[in-house]
This record gives sequence, structure tokens and C-alpha cells, in this order.
Amino acid sequence: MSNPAVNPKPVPEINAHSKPYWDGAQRGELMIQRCRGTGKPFMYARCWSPFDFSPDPIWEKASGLGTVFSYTVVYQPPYAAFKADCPFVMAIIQLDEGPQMMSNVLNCDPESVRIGMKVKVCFETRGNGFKIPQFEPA
Amino acid sequence: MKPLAAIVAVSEMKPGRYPNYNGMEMYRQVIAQFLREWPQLRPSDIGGLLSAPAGMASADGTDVFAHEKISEELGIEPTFSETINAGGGTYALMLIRASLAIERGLCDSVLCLGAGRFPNVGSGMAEMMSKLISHPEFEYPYGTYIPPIFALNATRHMHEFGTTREQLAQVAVSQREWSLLHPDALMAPQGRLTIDKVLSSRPITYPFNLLDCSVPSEGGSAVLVVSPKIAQRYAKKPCFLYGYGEKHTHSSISQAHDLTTLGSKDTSAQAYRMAGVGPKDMDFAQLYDSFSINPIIYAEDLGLCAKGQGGAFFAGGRTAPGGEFPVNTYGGLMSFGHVGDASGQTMIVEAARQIMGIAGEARQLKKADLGVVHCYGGMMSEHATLVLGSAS
Repeated sequence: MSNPAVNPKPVPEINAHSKPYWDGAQRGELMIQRCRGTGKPFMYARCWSPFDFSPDPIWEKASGLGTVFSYTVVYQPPYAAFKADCPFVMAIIQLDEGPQMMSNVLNCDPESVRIGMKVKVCFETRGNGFKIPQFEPA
Repeated sequence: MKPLAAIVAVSEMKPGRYPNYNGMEMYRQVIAQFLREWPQLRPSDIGGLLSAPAGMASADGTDVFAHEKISEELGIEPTFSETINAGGGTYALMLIRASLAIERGLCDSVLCLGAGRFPNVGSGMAEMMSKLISHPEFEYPYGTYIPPIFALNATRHMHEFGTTREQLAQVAVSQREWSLLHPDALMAPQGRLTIDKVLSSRPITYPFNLLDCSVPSEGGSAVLVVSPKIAQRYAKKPCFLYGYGEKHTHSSISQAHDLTTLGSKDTSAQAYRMAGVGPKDMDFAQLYDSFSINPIIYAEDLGLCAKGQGGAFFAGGRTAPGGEFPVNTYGGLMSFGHVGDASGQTMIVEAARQIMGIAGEARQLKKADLGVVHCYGGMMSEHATLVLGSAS
């Protein structure tokens, strides 16, 4: 990013059911959901539990700690908005709570990222000051 | 073995770029070629019709009413017809659906059609594709696109089993060898590959270089499936369907339960069980290969080798022409061409040609009595395995 003030990378279209996730991110908190029936945590935001269909899953703040489950170093950007970031890391992060999520791994040499690397959540500011959860080496 | 359905006629367009054809016109080209190659067919021979959405992933929009428009132009009133979509898995699912419809007596024959496009990326198309192939809210913001998504499977496979980049490269090398034997293969004019050529091609997304990736193009194909009872009327040596399996495991790659054992393990087990055969009975395999990692994982999941041994399975040209076990005998998506989702049907067309004995002198296998086809759609999300063979 040459100029963070005009970070051209995409921001998500937020849905009603997922608003607590993105509201949390704006506060600097990574939110996950927990099933009211089984007590098991999950990602991504859903209106019901995928374990037992119990409604209205509980939102709670995650530890923000996780491990790189798999990764790739992207040399060819998907489109112009990511050109300045190349090479960048795209990774599946396994949260300490169990669920997995997509992320980039920021604030390190992309080629130093490895499976099993401990990471912690950070937040990247995009257009209009919108924050999205990201990860960096712990 | 009990035949469930029979493939009696197949046809495929040469993969390439067809900028003057929209989605429906691609279908017309596919059908016109099919009718040229099988001139004895009449409208009354087509009792059912399955198509994929026309113009999928193209700027001019996707038509999910393709089946009714095609039927009208063919002059048929099918008693079983729909437009279905499971990406590259669509066409194996068509064969399964056709088989079920024929078995239940809804119709005696089903024409399965695919016309795939892989658009040149530009003016927002890449962003649109990204939202389509990954979670639009929770994955898309991280710059997801197709090659890095599959690279996640590859990196994990290398981590768990010690699979090497040379082994990945060998998949591309062997498939290029097969493509040299196919008159329509897109990459054949480029000549042979070596592991070094693959490893020194442009890095795309670790561990994939350019030559680890399939070749985006456009094309399409047609497959006529009929009841085993009437198969002999159409073909001296039909290609019979003996078993199949289907499973849909996830949509977003980050939500897959496993990156190295996929739905293909269950779908192949089901297909073998239904056919009453095992992987050791297979004479060849066609394994959907968007990227060099895919056939490695499928060879393992389909029981052609042990889990973790997929890299070694391809080593030294074992799957290339003249090797011990032929895989992707037409060059695969990587060297024949990746004609969008219709690539799933390319594999069925090739398997049928091998079993029907019409693959042409250059690449016709000496023994092609039983073969296994594995297709997937989405980000290795929608899996389907077919066991196909000659008369038992």
C-alpha cells in the first residue's frame, strides 16, 4: 500500500446477520459465534448453529490467537487493488478456539511464513476507515 | 456388473477462444458439431436434455433457462430436462441424473451438454469471479482468486506428506505428453515439457508456477446417454456407467474440513461399491486437473495409491503414454485446455472414447475396459466419481 489513506482493496458487503462481526472489527475485536445447544464455536457468521440448528448463536470475542493451517505467497495479483501488495500471503488461520478463517499474514517477509506459525489478530484499515481482521506473526 | 446407463455418442469442440460466440451460440456450435459427427441422430432420439447455465462467468450474463431454449431449437419436447450447475462437477452429475431418470423410465435417452467459457479477466470480471468462487464477505476481502485457493491445498499436502515441487511439475510434464497425441489439444503446439521448464516458468502463487496451472480457454461438448437396453441400436461398443458417487463438502475453502483428503474419498468408495469393483481393476483414470496438485490428491483419494504417495505415483512418467497407469489420456485441463466448467465433460468424452475404442490410433489405450473419472466443481467442493466400462 503506497498510501494507506486510499487503500483500494475491497471492503465486504455486510449482511444483517453478520453485522456484529464487522462491528467488533471496528472496535479492534475478532468476534466468533458459539452454538447455544452444543457450546461449540464456529465461523463464519450464521443465523443458526450448523451443529444442531439452534437459533441465535452467541457472539463473543475470540482470543485473536491462531496458527497458520496453510498458506500461499501470491506473486500475481488477482486484480489491480492488490498489485502494490504483491507478493502477499493468503492463508487459512486456525484460531486457538478451533474454527478456521481466511486471512492475509501481514507485517512480515511473505516468504518467511510457514505452516504451524503462531499468529495474532491485527486490523487493516481500508477505504472510509473500515477495518478488517488480519493476522501477523505472534 | 450391471450397466446403469450407456454413453453412445460424444463430440467436443476444439478448445480455443471464440470471441464472436455468446453463451447460447457456444451451445449451437457444440450441437452442430455433434450432429455432423453423428448424422444418424434425429430429434426423436433425444428424450431428455441437460445443460449447464449458458454464458457462465461472462460479462453478458448467465442464462439458467438454457435447457428450454436448446430444446426448442432442437425441435424436441423432453420429458426430463433442466439446467444444472456444480461447476466442473456438473457433467458427472448430469450422467448420474440421466442414469436415474432412465432407470425410473422418465425417458430412454438424455443429451448432456456443456459449453464453458473462461473469460479474459478485465473490467471488474476478476472481482466478480473472486466473489463467486470464494466467500464474498469473509474471503473475498483477502484477495482470493482461483490459483492461490488451490495453492492452499498444495502447500498443506507438501507439509503433511513431503510432496515436492518436482512431483507437482511431473504432473504437467506427463499430461503434456498425452496432449501431443490429441489433434485438438490447445498446448500441443508448444511441444514437450520438462520438470525444469515448469520450475523455471513464472511464479504465480507458491508453490504454483505458470505451467502448474491449467490453460483458460473456451469450448464445449455433448454426450448422448441412453438406456443400456437400447445402447446397441446406437453403438457397437457403448461405454457403460457401472457406478457413481456424489458429495458436496463445502463452498469456501477456509471451511473445508481437510485440505488433503477431499470428498473424492467417499465418492470413489461409493462408485466402486456400486460397480462391484476396486481401484486395482481400473485400466485408466481421468482426474480433473485445474492445477498440478489436484490429480495427486485424487489418485490418493481414489485408491490408485496410498494417501501421501500421490507425488510418487506420478514420478518418472508412470502416468504418461507408455507408462504403467495412464492418467488424463488427452492432456487434461493443463494441456488439452480448461474450457471453463465444461472441462468436467471433456474427461467423460475422453473416457468414453477410450472405452468405445474411438480415441484414435495415436492415443487409444490397448486395454481400456474399465476406467474411473473424477470431476469436481467449485474450490474442490462438489465431487463426483464415475466408474465407466465396456460390456462386462
